[in-house]
Amino acid sequence: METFDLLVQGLGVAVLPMNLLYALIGVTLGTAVGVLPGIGPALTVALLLPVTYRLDPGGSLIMFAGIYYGGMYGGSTTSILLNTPGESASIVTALEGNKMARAGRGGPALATAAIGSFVAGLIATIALAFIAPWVVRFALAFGPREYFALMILAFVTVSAAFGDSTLRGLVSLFIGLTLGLIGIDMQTGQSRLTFGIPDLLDGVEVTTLAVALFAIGETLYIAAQGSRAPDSVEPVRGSLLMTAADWARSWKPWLRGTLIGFPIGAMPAGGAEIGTFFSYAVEKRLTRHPEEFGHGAIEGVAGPEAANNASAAGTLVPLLTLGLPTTATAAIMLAGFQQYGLQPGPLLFTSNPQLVWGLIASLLIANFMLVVLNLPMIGLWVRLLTIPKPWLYAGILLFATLGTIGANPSLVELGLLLAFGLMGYALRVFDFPIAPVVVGLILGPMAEQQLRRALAISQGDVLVLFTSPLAAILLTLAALALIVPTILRARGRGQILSELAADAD
Amino acid sequence: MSTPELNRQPERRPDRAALVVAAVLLVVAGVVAWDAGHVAGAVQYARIGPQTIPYVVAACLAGLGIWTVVEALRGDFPARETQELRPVLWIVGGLLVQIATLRVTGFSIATGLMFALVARGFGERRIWLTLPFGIVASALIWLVFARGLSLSLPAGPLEAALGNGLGALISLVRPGGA
Amino acid sequence: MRTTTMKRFHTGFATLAAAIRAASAVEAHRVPAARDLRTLEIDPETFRNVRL
Repeated sequence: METFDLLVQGLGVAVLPMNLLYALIGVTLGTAVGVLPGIGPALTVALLLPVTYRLDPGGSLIMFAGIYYGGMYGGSTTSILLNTPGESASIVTALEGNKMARAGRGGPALATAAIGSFVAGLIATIALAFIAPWVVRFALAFGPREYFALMILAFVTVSAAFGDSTLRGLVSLFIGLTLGLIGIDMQTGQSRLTFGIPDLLDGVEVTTLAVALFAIGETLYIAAQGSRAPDSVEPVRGSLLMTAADWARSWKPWLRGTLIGFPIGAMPAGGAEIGTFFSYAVEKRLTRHPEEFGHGAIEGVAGPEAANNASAAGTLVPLLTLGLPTTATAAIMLAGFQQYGLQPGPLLFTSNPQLVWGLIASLLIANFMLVVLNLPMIGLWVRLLTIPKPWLYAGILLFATLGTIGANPSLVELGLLLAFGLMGYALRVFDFPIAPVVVGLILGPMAEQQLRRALAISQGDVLVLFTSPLAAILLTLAALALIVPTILRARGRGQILSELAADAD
Repeated sequence: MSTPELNRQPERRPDRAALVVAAVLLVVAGVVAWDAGHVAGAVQYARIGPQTIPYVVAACLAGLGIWTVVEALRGDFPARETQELRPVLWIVGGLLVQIATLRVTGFSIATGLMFALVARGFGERRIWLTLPFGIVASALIWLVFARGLSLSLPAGPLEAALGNGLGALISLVRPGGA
Repeated sequence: MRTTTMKRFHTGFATLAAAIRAASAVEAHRVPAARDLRTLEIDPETFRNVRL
C-alpha cells in the first residue's frame, strides 16, 4: 500500500493551483494539436521545450504529459467528423467513427471516444502507478552493463524489429547515432565531428532535430503531395448523449482496449497505432453486430480509442522507470527532463519522488479535465478545422522557427534547422522511419557512456557484457529481435509471391 | 491478381535515387572514420576511448550503405509517390529569406516574409493578406515571448518601435512608474 | 480442444504482426498492405477513403 500513499502525496502536489494551471494549459494545447492535422504531440512538446526552460520543472513536465494525453483525445474528433485523422493513432477510429457521423450518430461516436479515452486513461494511469515501483525496485540493481544492454534492445525494437524494413529502420537509427556523436566527448573533452564550428561543440539539440523533422520535414512532404480535394466537415447532428444501448455496447470494448493498449505501449515497440489496429480486429471478431461493422459500429470506435490512450500511459512506464523512450514523443519528453538536469529512471523515484508522483497524479486530473474539455466544447474544436491549409502550415513554421530562434538565435542553428528539415523530407520520401533518428540522437550518447563505464570497470574486456546474466539475456533478445523479423520478412515475401502464383493459376 | 500485373512485377530496375542514398551513407561513414582517426591521434593511451564508438558507427554506416546498394540494385525500395517540387522550393525559399533577413529587419518582418512565402507554397496567392498577417502575428509573438518570457528574439526597427510604444503606454498608464 | 487453443494463439499472433506492420505503414503516410488489413478485419476499400 506504499504506492497508494505515494499517489495520495502526488495528488497533493498535483492540486497546487500552479500545477492545475499547467495541466489545463497542457490538455488544452494537446487537444488543439490533436485536432489539427499535421501537428502531433511530439512536435508540440519539442516546440515548447526552448520556451519553457526557465519555468518550473514539475509544472512543465505536467504540461508535457497533458499534451501527450490531450493529443490522443483530440485526434479522434478529426477522425470522426472529417475522416482525416489528426493523429496516426486515430486512423482506425475514422473507419467506423466517420460512418457513424454520416449516419447522424456523430454525437454518440464522439462521446464513446471521449469517455472511452477517459476510462482507459484512468485505469492505465493507475496501472502505471502500481507497476512503476515494482520495475524501479528491479532496476535499482542495474549496472552500466545492464543499462547498455537495455538500450541496445531499445535501439533494435524501435528501429528494426517492427518496421517494414530492417535496413531502413537501421539507417534511420544510425543517422541519429551519428548526430549524437557530434560535440565534446564528456569523458575526455575531445571534440568529435565539430569541424571547427563552435556552435557544434554542445552537440545537436534534440529540439532542433525534432522540430526540423516533425515540423519542417512534414510540411515539405505535405506540400509536395500537391492539392487534394477540399475536406468537408461532417456537422454534429442529433444528441451528444449515448443511449443505453450505446453504453451497453461500449463498456466492454473500453476495457478490452485498455487491456490491449497498455502493455503494447509499455513494450519498446513504439507507436500507439499498433494497439488501435489490434483492438479493432478483436472487437470485430467478438461483436454481436458484425453486420454493422463498416457501416458505423460503435464498438469499432470505443475499443481503438481506449487502446490509444492506454498505450500513451503504457509508454510512460519505461520512460519514467528506466529512462527509456520508446516513441518519438517519449524521446522528446526525455529531453524535457534533461533540460532541467533530471534523468528519469529508478533513481529519480528515490531522489525526487514529489516530482514523479506529482506527475503521475496530475495525469489522473488531466484525464478529468479532458472529458470536460472535449465533450461540451466540441463545437469549438471543430471550428479549428476550418483554418485553411496554407495558413495552418505557415503558422506551424512560424512557431517552429520561433522555438529555435528563441533558444539560440545563431545562423548556424537556423541553418541546421533547415538542413535537418530537408533531411526529414528526404527520409519521408524514401520511407525511412523518423522516430529512430530522434531516439538514436538522445539515447546514443547515453548508451556510449554506459558502455565505456562498463568497459572501464573491466579494463576493456568486451566479454564482461555477457558475464552478467541479465545483460546477456537482453543482448540475446536484441539479436533475436534483429534477426528473426528479417528472416520472417524474407519468407513472407516468398509467401506473397507463391500466393500470387497460386492466384494466377 | 490478373496476369498482366504479374508480368509487370519482375521488371525491376536499379533504383538511382536509392543509390544516391547509399552513396551519402558511405560518404558519411568515411567522414566519421576520418574524424575518429583525428581523435585517436590526440588520445593514444586508452584502448577504449572517444574514438571507439565513432569507429563502430562508421563501420555500421558503411555496412548499411553496401546493404542499400544491394537493395537498390534489386529494386527492393518501395515505390515513391511523385513529388511536386514547386511548393517545396517556395517553402525552402521562405526559410532562407527568414535566415537572411533576421539580423537586418528583426524577428517580425523576417518571419512575416517567411509566413507569406510558405502560404504561397501551399497555394495562397493573396500575399497582401498573408504578409501583413504574418508580420502582425510575429510582432505579437515577439511581444509575448521577448518581453514576457525574456526569450532572445532578434529585434529590428519594428520591434524597437513596438518596445518604445509599449514603454510610452506603460508610463501613460502609470505616471511616475517604471 | 488443444488444437483450438493453438489456433487461437496463432490467430492472435498473426493479428499482432499485421497490426504492427499496418501501424508502421500509416506512420509513414502509406496505406497498409491489403493482406494485413484483411487480417485485421478491415476492408481495404474502406481504408482507402481515410485521408492519411
